[in-house]
Amino acid sequence: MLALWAQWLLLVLGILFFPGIAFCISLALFDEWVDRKFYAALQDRIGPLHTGFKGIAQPLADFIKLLSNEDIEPSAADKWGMRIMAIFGLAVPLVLLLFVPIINTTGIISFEGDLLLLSFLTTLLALVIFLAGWFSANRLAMPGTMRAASQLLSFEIPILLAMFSVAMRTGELSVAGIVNWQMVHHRPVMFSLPMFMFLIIYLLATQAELERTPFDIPVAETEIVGGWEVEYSGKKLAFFRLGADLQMIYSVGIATSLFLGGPIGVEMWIPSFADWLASSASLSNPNGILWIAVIRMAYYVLIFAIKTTLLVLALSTFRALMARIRIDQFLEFSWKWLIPVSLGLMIFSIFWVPWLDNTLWVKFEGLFPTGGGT
Amino acid sequence: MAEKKIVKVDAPKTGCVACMPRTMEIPLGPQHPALKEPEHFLLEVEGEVIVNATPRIGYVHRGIEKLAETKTYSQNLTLVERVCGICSHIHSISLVNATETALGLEGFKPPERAEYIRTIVSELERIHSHILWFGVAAHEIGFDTLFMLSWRDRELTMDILEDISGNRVNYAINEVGGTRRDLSEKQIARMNKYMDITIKRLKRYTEICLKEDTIRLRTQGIGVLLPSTAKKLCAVGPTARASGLKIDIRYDDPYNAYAGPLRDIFNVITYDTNDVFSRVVVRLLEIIEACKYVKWLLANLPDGPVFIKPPRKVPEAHVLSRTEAPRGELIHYLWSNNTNKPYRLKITTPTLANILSVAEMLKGDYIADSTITLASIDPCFSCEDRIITIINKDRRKAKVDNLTMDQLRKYSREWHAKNKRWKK
Amino acid sequence: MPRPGVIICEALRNAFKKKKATIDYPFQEGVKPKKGLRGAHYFILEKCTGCRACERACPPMCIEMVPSEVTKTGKRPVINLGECIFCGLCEEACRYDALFLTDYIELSAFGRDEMIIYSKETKPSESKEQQEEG
Repeated sequence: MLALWAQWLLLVLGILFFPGIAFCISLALFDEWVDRKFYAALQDRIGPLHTGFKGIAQPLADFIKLLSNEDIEPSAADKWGMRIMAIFGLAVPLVLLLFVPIINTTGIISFEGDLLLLSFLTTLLALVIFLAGWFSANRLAMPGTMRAASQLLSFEIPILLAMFSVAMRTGELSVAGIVNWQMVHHRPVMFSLPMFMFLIIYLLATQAELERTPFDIPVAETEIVGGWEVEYSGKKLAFFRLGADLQMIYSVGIATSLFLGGPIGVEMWIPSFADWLASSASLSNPNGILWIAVIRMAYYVLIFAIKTTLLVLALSTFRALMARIRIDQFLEFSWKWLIPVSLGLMIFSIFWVPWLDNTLWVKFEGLFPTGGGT
Repeated sequence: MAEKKIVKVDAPKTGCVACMPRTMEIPLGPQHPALKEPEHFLLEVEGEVIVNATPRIGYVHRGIEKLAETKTYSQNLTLVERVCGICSHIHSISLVNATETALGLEGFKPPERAEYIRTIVSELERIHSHILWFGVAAHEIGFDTLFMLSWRDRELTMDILEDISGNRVNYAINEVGGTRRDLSEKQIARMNKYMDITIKRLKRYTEICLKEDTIRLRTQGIGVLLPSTAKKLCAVGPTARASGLKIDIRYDDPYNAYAGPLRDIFNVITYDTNDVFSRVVVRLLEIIEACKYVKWLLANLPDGPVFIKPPRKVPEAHVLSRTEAPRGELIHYLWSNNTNKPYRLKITTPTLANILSVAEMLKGDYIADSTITLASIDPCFSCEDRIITIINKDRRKAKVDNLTMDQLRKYSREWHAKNKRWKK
Repeated sequence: MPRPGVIICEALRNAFKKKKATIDYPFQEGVKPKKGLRGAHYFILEKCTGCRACERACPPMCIEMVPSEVTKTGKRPVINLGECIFCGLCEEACRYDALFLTDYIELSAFGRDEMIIYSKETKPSESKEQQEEG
């Protein structure tokens, strides 16, 4: 065992740098670049080009430029409220990202039942947006705020249903537990019909949570001039923009962990590779070998980044395909279609899972060398 | 729902909630990202439904009509092109037709090839103007992919125009007595090729608009203008044609090459659902028709000179010249006085005719739909502003009136008597 | 049958296309026609007679006649590109082919003085456009 101070040092370094804040911000900026590039490619454009390799540093450059901009605060607004909300808009996604398993099968913070805490914190994020619009006291921010609030009510329920039906399927109530379940059972949760439908529902609701087309109703530029973020400029806007990127990483990261097996890649089906990786499960294990630990970390990060980027690509394709719908049409879509379908699926998955899933899976298990079943 | 809270924000501070008036006023413009040019609409809102809309025009009056009196006819052709940035050539055609009609009193007639070239350029302009509008409308409803793709295909037409005229926007290809440039064989071949591509692309966009569900959700059933109302409010152009009225100056009162054999294959596009969707479809079909006209005109281009030197002075006449701009009927009223400069030029642009229709369309819509409804007439507010005076300074009852020449002189004299320190 | 996402095939085809529609203009050459473009003026002082035809034809009155020792009438045109609308009427008005429009269209300048085309007679240093034309 390492000494206590060393463990603490590792934890702090972890939160600050590697799987924590610095790494997450770089991954978020990278994924924003991927999003922008692919969105531009879908529209027959080039996208950012001149900052770094093919414009890879453009999101960072935009962030720094926004930081240096003049910060204008309207006299009628609640100034401290606006400032605090901008900080919250960056801090809450960062806290959320500590729960996502990136370099390990567990996140930096992990305990039994953290899925519940995550669901509360996601709602807090929507509340931050609501208050941010409210404090800016703008005539155009108000409809944006109200739209954001009514949209929140509609998309939170499918997200929660998707998250907890995965918990029901696996019988675990923590993100680490779900990832381990997928490792033990040699298959991602996604390989089952109702769960696959839940993945699609989760991504749809995520699109609404991230306020991207066709669900960018609260920030519609041509209708209400940017909605709730109309009065934010300079540093505060930079914080919100970075916060939105981090939120995107968090959302697709959780989708990866819950449905796609998190950072676990091919070792799900190659037990010898898994054993070799597991031989240095943590740095505090004296039997572990350091360089295997480093390879393991790099491998997990790579798998995680690939999976999240693929999901981001799916989200940006979805962004390019449709016109923005009206708020009443969104509510109708959500309450008449998305929520009843998710509820029905949840009930369906209870009956589907123990019977059909295993029966079907047994037929395919010969395809994989482990031959693992439940 | 969402917009319901606006009511509380905009409520006057006097009185309690119970004794609030039922309708609230929400301004749209003069500065708004959906409006490319300054314009003010005062929306009276009940809940989130608009019950009344009052337009207020006159933010970008530029004094073009007065300036036109100081320049020769040939110089004025480049001036009136600056009335509108998008439909610039049609203004030039309108003035040159008026001038040549006045010159016709002395037996002057422009060459036929020049008239064909003018018509080709005006149809190309209609194509690029309509595709531009289509992209803007797609952007208004948040469909940015369609916006980018349609503007990519607009570049073909812009390249043709740059090739045959030398400029991308204000072509300056007209001259009193003909055109200033001729078409070469190479250019004709290139135009034929590009028109084929444009027709193919536009058929694809029509298909997308008819099939895409989210476009239909955002455009169908909003901004309704019934045919009877459209007739009553004198709607013109695609706005009227989308309400099922068969109004087209190119067919009703043909000018240039439209008066020739082109009239036999001319097809007035109408659509009968009366909403924004109908305006989208009418414009898209009109582009396809315009491409066909360009191809026909190129195939039947007569030989001969493109320019005949006109007499220097224009005989005294009052000429009213009507043309079909991309946005509707455009009127140029010319008063010549036997010199080489016009005595008076009056321009009425199609947006002025359609602005009352917009106020009618906005009634009964949601606030979220107000921008696409407003964009659906293809507004060009900067073009429409002529000599005005604001009679009532109260914003709620803003009223705008045109002045006659004598009234204007009197106003000018009074104003200068009052403001003696003001220098030119 | 209306459905959402009709444009998907086209969008994905665009995404995996090698050559995009965008031209990275200042770094890459833009599209412009080979001849007939209306760009900055090119003025040949030797041919000019100072007949003022270009000044009379100019709609925005951006051509100003200044004294000269070379031309016949003792005047020569000075063109202010800041006011010019590039209509080409001066080119057609000139009977001696002394003034014509070139295809030089990159006309951004740092000051109003740089927008004025002087001829080489007086101030050769300021005729920036002419030097670049060669």
